[in-house]
Amino acid sequence: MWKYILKRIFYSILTIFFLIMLTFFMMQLLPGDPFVGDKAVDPVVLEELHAKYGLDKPVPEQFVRYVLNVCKGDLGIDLKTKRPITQTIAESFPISFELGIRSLIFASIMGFFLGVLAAVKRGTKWDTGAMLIALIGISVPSFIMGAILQYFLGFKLFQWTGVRVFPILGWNTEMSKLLPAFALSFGSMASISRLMRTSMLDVMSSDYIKTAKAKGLSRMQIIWRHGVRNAVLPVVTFLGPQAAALLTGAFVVENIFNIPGLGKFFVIGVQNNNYTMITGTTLFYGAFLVVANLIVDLLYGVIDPRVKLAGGKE
Amino acid sequence: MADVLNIENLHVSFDTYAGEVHAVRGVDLHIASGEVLAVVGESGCGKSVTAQTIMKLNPMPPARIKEGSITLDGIDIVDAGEKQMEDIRGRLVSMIFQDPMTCLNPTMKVGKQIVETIQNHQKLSREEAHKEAIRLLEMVQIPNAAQRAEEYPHQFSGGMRQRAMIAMALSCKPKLLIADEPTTALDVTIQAQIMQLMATLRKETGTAIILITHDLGVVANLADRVAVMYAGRVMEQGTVRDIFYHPAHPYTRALLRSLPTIDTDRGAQLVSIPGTPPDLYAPPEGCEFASRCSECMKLCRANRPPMYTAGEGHIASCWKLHPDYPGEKEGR
Repeated sequence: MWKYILKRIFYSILTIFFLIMLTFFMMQLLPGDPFVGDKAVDPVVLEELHAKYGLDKPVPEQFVRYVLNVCKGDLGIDLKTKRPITQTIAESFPISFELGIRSLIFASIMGFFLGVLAAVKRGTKWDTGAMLIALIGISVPSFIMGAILQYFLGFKLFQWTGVRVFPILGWNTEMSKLLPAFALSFGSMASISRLMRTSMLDVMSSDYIKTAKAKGLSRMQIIWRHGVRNAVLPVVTFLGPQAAALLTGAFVVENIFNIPGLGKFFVIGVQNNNYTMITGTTLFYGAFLVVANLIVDLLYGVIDPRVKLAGGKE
Repeated sequence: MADVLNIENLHVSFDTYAGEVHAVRGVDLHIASGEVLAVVGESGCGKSVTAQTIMKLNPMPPARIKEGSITLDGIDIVDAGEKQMEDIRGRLVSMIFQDPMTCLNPTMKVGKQIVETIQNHQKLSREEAHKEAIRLLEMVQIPNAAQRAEEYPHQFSGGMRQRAMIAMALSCKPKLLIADEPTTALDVTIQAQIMQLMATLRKETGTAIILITHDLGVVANLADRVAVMYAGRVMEQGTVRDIFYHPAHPYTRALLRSLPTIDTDRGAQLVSIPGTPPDLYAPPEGCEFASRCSECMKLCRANRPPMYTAGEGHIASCWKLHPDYPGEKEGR
């Protein structure tokens, strides 16, 4: 078990190293310069700035220095605001995290119930309805969903009722957190419900469900005790990457709803060639994803007793 | 003795896109309490469908009971609602299936799966039910039953899983146990153990058993009576002795001929019945076996033979048993 975990951690570090390397060198291919903005900058000042941040050194040397700094836990200094990147992450990531968690909970619960409903009522209006919602969720991107929600629930609802139920922008009141979380979760919810439906149909046609029926269990007992428990396994595997994606992947939604999360800083960083910001956030996201996947793999062994991780007993 | 199960003129069809499949077409079966009836026949002859219809396990639709009656311990099954069936299943009648590898829930402890059955039908506390489950596991000769009850099915071997299935099936002392090819998926040595176990348990519990199989060796061991099915109908029914020593139906004889014996030459080709069973989308007018029968007559193709008595408690559906048939009567 420990051997397995250590091996996984080693591979994770390797993955992250390659991730740094790729982002670092690809960033060098970006046209432009972090210090050249709207107004013209004096070439002498520019050179000084470059020297100050080590940007005049050869690229390989810059890379080695960066990697060494990362090992010390230093992600560099924001080239625009002069604040440490780690500080920006520490301030903004909790907001992204909260948004992600809210979406994840919503997506899992709704996706789960829609999927079970569709499978149990297969071929009926319920099934069609649930799968229609799923189809919309998969085909409509989150930013369009966000805009639609802003327009109807934020703007139109206010016009009709005169009461501001859902604020259009911001991240301060409970109500203001609902729309972005819903917009972000819709796609995941759709995927989860479809996966749950397929998995559930698969399980419900298996032999042990027939055994359960032959024992005289009621339909509800069969569905919940024997069906759902087994059908949820593949969904859990899917939930890992999905959770990581939701926790880290809200760039656009954060921008639309003007939420001061990490995604917003990342997008702005790309827009104005803020090298340290781009590598810092990418690295952070990457590490987060890798760790999330590792946790899910370990959890899987708890949920499904047949899975004994390599290196364990048996 | 009163019959535990009475099936009369049962017709079951499946409605599919390609049309109606007449899977079971007029089956009559009777089982006295404590009796073992073997139902034999090749794949697709309707033996499993008949068995599952007794418990209404077939999804309906597409399955449909077209005609006939099933009476289990005095209860009319055909008209019973789903709630009543839930009470009957597992309590009056239970079933063990062909493949023990897939018939137990992989994420539930074996003991718990038995406890669940017990608690579903009997008012027992969790501890009592658990004790009972361990007693049942011991009864089916699972060593370290208390410890084994806490394990998951994947930690059991195939034979042990089938034993656990049997324990589960017998947990509420049903009047009738349906064993749908209980040994087909097991090793030959394990098969013998399981059959032995079923024979012992039958003596101890007095449960009537319907044994569905295509293994005639299994039949000879355990059964009191045999029903031979073909293309959705019972062709012949009688005691084991009747069927093995005085088969009255050409199909039964052909089946027995195709059994290899210990004297069969290694090089010799195994005997098989030529042809294939009839299409059950459009069953033939006459005798179902006519097209493959070596003793087929003109009459057989156009008219389905009724059941004739071939001896006491021995019936077969063949024109050659008609009282006016001039030739020598087979089987006597």
